[in-house]
Amino acid sequence: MRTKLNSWTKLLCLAVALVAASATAGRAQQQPQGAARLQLDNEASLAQKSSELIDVNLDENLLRIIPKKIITTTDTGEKIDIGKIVGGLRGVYVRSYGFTNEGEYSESNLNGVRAQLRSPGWARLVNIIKKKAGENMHVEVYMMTATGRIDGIAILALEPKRLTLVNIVGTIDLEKLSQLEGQFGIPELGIGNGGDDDKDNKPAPRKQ
Amino acid sequence: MRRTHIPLLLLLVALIIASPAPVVAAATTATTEKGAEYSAVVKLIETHYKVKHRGIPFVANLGVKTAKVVSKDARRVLRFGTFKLAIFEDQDFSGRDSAAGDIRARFRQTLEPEWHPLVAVRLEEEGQTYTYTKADGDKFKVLIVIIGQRDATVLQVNLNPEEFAKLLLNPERESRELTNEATSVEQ
Repeated sequence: MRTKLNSWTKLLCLAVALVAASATAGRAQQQPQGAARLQLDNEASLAQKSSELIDVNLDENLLRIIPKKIITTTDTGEKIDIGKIVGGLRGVYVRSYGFTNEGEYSESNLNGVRAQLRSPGWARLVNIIKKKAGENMHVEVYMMTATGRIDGIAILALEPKRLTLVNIVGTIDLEKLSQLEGQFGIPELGIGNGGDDDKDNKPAPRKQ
Repeated sequence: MRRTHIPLLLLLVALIIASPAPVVAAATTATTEKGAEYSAVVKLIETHYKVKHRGIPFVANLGVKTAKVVSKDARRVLRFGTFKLAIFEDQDFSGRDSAAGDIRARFRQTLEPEWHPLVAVRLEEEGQTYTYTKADGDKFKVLIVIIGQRDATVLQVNLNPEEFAKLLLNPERESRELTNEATSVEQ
């Protein structure tokens, strides 16, 4: 009887171990963020230093709620089917910091994000420098293509008194990227009409 | 412990470990008092900014200015069904008690983890907007806190998926419009 009981105990111990291992693995798979998801909150000091802050977090669960067909009007009056654009998205994250004076943030504040953008799969797509009267903006657009398709986009927009970081996770048509400006808290960065200004918008050499 | 209990105990442990986290979270939610988050956030604003809710009994004993606070439950407007609204008028929301920490961090500590921080905006002229969301059956609970220099509002609404999608498209603007709509009804 004792031998039989011991066997049952061993079997149950094995079952416990298997179930626990499978549950842990399942939870790990539920972690939604792939390599295209950037950690944008490494520089907590930016939020404290800035006089203005915009922080938007739309994860996959929220994006799924948006109907497949939903027409919205952009600030320029253009009607777009935003549902089609967001169909392949798994996350939209925006951090925009406004400062009272110039020089309140520095390149070193971007070290954390830039380090992530140097990891395999990320490549700089375009560099836009806008220097019109009253405007001095440097926009860098990166894309993640680790799986052979676009898995994510990162946008760094640097202005003297504003720093904006945008991370779009998921499949997106690059031609429609500009249509997301003004939606989901993404500011108007002028990516679509970047060609009107001084620019260096040739694709940068691919980094791996 | 009797030896015969060991297999049962192990089975129980296995079931607890195997339970998916959302189920545990749902159980926690079920035990949360209805509307507790809204009340907790209103109270948090009171303590953080040293303003007071008229409905709290011991307000007269405190040497702080009393705000006009209107809490209404079960109000109906066109875009959303029942909602809760607290309006703080003519109070000083400009200062921040550094010892008490950032209000946003305190919201995170106050709200249950299932409340998703959709948007946080701090603008010099327009003040602060914080919007949190939570799935609630086939609807979505939305908690919007808007803090200006002299006024603040706390609004909790339940949105259907269509209205919720509109909020997602332009979180900050829609948060303000929902609040404007609720406060207009109030007036």
